[in-house]
Amino acid sequence: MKHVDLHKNIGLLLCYLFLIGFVIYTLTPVIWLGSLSIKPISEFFQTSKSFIPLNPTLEHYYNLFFKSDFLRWMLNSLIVAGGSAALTIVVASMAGYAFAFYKFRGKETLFMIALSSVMVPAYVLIIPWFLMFRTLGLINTYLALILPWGASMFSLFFMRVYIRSSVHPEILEAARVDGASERSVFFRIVMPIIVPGIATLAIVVFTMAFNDYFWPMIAMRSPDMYTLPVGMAQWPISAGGGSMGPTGAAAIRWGLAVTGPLVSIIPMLILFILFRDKFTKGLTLGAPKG
Amino acid sequence: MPKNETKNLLFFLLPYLILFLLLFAFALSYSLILSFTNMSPGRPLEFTGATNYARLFGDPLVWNGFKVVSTVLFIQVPIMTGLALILAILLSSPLIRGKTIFRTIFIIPVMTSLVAATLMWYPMFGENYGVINLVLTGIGLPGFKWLLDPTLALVSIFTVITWRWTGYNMIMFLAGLQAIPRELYDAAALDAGRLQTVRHITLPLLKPIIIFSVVFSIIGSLQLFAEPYVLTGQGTSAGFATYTVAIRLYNIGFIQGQFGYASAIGWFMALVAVCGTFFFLKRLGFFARGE
Repeated sequence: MKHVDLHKNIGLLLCYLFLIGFVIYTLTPVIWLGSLSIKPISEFFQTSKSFIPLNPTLEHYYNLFFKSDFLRWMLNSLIVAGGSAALTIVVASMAGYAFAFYKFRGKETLFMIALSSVMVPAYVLIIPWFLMFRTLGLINTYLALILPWGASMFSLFFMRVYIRSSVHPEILEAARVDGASERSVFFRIVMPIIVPGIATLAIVVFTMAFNDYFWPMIAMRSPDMYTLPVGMAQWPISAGGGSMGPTGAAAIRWGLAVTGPLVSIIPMLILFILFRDKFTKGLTLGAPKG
Repeated sequence: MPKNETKNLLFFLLPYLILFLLLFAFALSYSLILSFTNMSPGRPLEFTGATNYARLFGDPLVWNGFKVVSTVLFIQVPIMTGLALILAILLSSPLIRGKTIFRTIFIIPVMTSLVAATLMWYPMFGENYGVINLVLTGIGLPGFKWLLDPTLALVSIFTVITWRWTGYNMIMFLAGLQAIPRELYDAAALDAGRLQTVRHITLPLLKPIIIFSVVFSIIGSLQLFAEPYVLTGQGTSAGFATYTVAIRLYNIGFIQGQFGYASAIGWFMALVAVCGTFFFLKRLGFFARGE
């Protein structure tokens, strides 16, 4: 018996060591960045380094908020993410309702086409999008980033399944017998029932649009229209990977590159804290159950 | 069924349908047509047949790109999936305490954008100021030029991708584990060890989710762009060791403006994604069981 217990405890110890090792891996870059973000540039490159800053300073945060386009990019990202989420929930819940309860020719075929499009890499679509939006004069506008989300198939799929499983057709029939029009059936009866599903989808799309990089990098051509990822991605390139202590403008960009990423996750952090369950559930959206 | 069926149907369906037809169906056909032309600004548009595809097969940088994403696929994806599985199994075990804290910490990277995640790791790899070299020199080992050496640059990219996505996969596996009935474990625990339980109960029941996550990773690796682009100077800080297919496509299409050739690269990527996934699922006997 003693032997078994010892064996068990060593196993448990190894499990905890593994978990703690992964905690260190996860947190080290965040803590190091936090430490760098309050160090003067000169301390970045000192030979005697410590995690704890010797002369803490807020100059990088000051530069980030008042001497760079960061806040503008944050605003752009929030507008794009909010707009994308709003458009997607309206379009997808309406289409999801049609796919859930209406019978029409080619329905399953259309649905399968929409589903299989998940396999198509965005790169195939982005060249035509660029040419199309340019023709429409929509390059460098918020609409260029918002509209493609309205065509997203996982949203349609999610809403169809959600409406099917949460709305009982009998309720709708009852309302129709009472003389309600189709639109009021949808807006007055279906919508209130599917609010939790809509909220989950909104959080998922908001997060994805907020964090998206490739298409925004192509569609947004001027620095005042950049989203956060597009703008921030420029910093290491312009700061260079040099090992000597930088000076002047390069030094300022170094400071931005260590503060920006930390501040940029604040909206996601707030979303996570407020809607923890929906946020986590949204991550598994689309995964097979069990 | 409701009255005025067609009119109502169109009301609900049309907004999505218009966007889908325009931004997906039309765009997809448009890029297919483009891939058979020489389209680039300031040149007369001509159909050039399969020229772009022939060029693609002889383009060393495209093949280099496929080599880079294959190393991610065959080395990084298995490591990450394994780590995520172990974490998920540990965090669903009744023996481990502090699960909520661990789970919350592991979910932090999921909140970052790919660009923010990459920038967070950027100061870790620095030659004279990076944490990794600080630790190495601290214990008397030499520091490395992480982003300039071909092998180490790849290792750096793996490190960032694993950091960003392990928590995501862990959450998916955890959701799957919660769906496994408790009684099954209790019954198994009576006459089998813990590891046997994992092997014979947990893994088989998790199979659909593991397959889903690996398919997702296959498609994701193939499209790898942000991490190497931002971390390794547009994929070129260590020769072409981290120069992916997507970076090639970006340079051809949006730097050089050769939309025709870039579309061909995009379509070839799509083809590889579909065939790769199909092959992977077939190897697993996914189709034979009719699931």
